[in-house]
Amino acid sequence: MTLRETLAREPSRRLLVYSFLVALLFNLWPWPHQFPAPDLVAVLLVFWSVQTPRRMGMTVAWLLGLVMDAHQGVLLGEHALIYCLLTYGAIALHRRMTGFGPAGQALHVAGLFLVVLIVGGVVNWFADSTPLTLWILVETIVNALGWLLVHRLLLTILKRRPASRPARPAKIVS
Amino acid sequence: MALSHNSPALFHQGLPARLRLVVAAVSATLLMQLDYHASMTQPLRQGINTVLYPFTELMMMPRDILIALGESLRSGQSLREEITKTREQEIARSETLLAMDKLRSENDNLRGLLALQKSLPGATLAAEVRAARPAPVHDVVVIDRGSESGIKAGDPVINSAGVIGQVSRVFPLTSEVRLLSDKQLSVPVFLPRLGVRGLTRGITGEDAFELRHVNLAASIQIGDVIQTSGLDGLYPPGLPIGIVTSISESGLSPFPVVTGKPVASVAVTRQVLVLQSRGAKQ
Repeated sequence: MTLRETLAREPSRRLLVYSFLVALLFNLWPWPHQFPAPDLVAVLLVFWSVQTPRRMGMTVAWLLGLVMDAHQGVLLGEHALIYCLLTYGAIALHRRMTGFGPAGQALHVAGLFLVVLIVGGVVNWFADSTPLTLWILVETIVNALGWLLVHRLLLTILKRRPASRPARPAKIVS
Repeated sequence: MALSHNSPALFHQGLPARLRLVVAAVSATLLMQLDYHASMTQPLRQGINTVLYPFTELMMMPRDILIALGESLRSGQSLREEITKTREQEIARSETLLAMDKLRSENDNLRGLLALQKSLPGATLAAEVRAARPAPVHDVVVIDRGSESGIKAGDPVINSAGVIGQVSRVFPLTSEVRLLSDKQLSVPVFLPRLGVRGLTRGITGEDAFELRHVNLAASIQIGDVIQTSGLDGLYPPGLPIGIVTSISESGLSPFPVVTGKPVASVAVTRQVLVLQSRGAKQ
């Protein structure tokens, strides 16, 4: 665990909610067709699941996934499944990941994304026989890079937060 | 019980994580099944999209402002050139239009004589392409008109060059249009030079489509024009679809693999026309 992470405080509920709102807006941006934009909601789910595993849950992941499904016009439930797997994987990995620096953690995140995106690809293949392509690798790399950025940015914010406000150990959605 | 093997948890933690994952995965899969096989999930989708609408519009604003700026910065010279070109086109088309009016009345007359149903020109609605759906497995765009304007799922969408696609989902203020190159869209077509019929099927991600079930004996050539046949009662017959770009033998099926390229593209012009005449569900 880096010094930065040790010093990081428990995030406030407001920070959690606002970060997800910003990520959602980022995902609603009209990216050009086939532009490799990271799925910031997924990246954030992974980040917060590692940072505060007790306060992240499947319900948030599931509902955020549903919103992304409706927005992208894909089968309802596709992103819900992917996001839940990501959250579970990140919570399961969070203890192990604290033993690594940012680059090592990013590798873990990349591995997690690769596995989950392959599951998503298989779902797509079942749904409308879309073959799995190497595009998944591009998405994996882009999302891992996105995670590095989010990691750096949010840890800076967490470190700067005043200590006077005690963290509330509550979940976003129970 | 004092001798119980399972000591009770000190703190209430809800369901174990693995069980929660199973519940989430099963519910997501069930939802996918429901969405795939039944239209029961349409209200849910519409609800979420309606709530998201102001936010998607908000996020599109910077891009729209850039486009508007770009257009206002265009020089007067290029605008004048465009006006001249448009006027020339208008004159060229007015001639065709006059000829068509005459042909239409003649056609109506003949159809009346033969006691055939008259082909009714239907209502049309102009719309603009707002965005492309980001999923790389589908070729779907979003237009700025929805059920509030009377659009129904299945309405054909065209522009001045030809057919673009078909409305696949309708929301109150927007609709999704499946492009000809989407794998899930098939249109019955006709090759006027040979008089053969076929069916298109999109090749997602390639801006092309495959021509299926064409006559084995037909000597299709590269460059052959493809038009709608109107056999489905959805598309008016004779609308340009595309041209044949390649023909190759297929190893497995007796049919040759014929691919075509759509003539109409949403990349060039964003203005489209929704044909509301038939309005039947796909």
